[in-house]
Amino acid sequence: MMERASALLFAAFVSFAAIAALSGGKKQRIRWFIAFSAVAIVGPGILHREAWPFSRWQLFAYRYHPPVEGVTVRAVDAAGIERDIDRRAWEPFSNLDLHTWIKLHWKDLSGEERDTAARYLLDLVNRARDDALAGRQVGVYGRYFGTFAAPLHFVFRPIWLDAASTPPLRFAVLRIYHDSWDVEERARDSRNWHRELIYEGPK
Amino acid sequence: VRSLLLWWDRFWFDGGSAVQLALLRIVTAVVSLWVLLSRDPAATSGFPPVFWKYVGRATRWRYMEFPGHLELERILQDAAILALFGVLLGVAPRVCAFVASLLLYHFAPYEAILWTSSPYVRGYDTPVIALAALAASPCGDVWALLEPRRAGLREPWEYAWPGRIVQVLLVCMYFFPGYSKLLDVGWGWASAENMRAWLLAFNQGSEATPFTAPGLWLAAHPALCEATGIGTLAFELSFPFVLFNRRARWVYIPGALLFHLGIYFMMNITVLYAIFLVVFIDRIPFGWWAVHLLTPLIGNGTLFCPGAE
Repeated sequence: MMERASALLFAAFVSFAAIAALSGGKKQRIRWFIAFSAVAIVGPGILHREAWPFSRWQLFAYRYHPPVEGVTVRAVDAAGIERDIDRRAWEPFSNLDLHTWIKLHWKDLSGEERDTAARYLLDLVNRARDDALAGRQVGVYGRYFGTFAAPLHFVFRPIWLDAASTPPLRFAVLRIYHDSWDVEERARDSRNWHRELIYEGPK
Repeated sequence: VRSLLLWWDRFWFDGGSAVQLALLRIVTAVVSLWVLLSRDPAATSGFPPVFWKYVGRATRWRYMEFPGHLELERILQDAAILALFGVLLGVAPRVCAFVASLLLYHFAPYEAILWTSSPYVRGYDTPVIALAALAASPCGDVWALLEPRRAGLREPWEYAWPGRIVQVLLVCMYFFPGYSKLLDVGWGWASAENMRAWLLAFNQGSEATPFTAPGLWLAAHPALCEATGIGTLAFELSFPFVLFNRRARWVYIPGALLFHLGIYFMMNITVLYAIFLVVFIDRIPFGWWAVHLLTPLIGNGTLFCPGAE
């Protein structure tokens, strides 16, 4: 329902813009466009309904409830050593979107679907590793601007900076973990957190 | 009612200038190009179908996104880039702005569509709306390469309202996060416990997080946590002042930049829409830059559009 309403809202917005543009600067048409834009921009916020690009801007409006939960993907190389993955390796996925997708949907995929997804992700990771070893740009986001590319919402530090910091062997397997912890317990002792393997593959 | 209408008209139509609108056009195009060229939304279309499994039909139709058409999406992405260059350089800027608005709307959710149909804070929130407004305004009257020449400039009101729309949008981006916090959590959102918990949560997790020390330091000081929470709510809920009081902008705009800098170092989060806060720096600085810095370089736009001013 909200999907259709949001689509209609945007369609009406661009229609009003087009009518105002074609009116040759008639003030009344522009007034209609402005009035519609004002309602479209402010309305979803007041009603607390999401209708992007007319958003309710529900940014960080949460109360903390333990535990914190997250997903970590790590790769195992041909020698059986498990390693962290440079977040740029996932591009054109953004780290946030890929990890949230895994967190929300991985459990609902069939075994075959998980392997298909893991095979694709493993290929991305190995390609990124090859690029890092060869001194090429890792990932696609920095292809034009390098380190000056527009940052993502959540910022991560690159870890495969050169051949020395890049794993020397190709990866054979991905491991996906579900991490959880209570922030106060972890603040008392940094080892107080739980990691559970939810996938290893592709088979 | 009449005085309300007069106030409404004054709010939207007072104080426009062709130079200021051209600057909005250029800033919007530059930011949009920066974001688009720093991502690859078309590539998402080539993901294996398993990644698209949970994207609903209504969402696909809403953004006209159908996986498995990588070549078509590449052409559309190139078209968006060309249109944005048109906006930037002033080559048929109004048509280009309209096309770019539609195409950025189409591409905006690509990074996120696999799990959400609301791609906010990914860089396209302001451009999609600003470009539609620019399309309906004479945004290419100055500093434009191929805009038809005019004998003179239009009335100031014609240049004023697109910047006002962007200002209202930006005010919503600050006010409604505060409003949401009160609706969803209540005043307890600003408590020292809640602030501390989030600061810890954001800084305990990943080994690839660039900054952890500032957030953990703040989390260790409950009074500062509470002050941060209360200050954030007060700042967000009072942000609409900038629409009505020019002096307030001297406090709120630098304050917003500090706010984002703090979030960046404390939680490793960036928001690209903050760049558009430049639309609040009107009159004096923009006018000053235009007259004293840019005019000697490009002749007040007349190099590109002889007879415009």
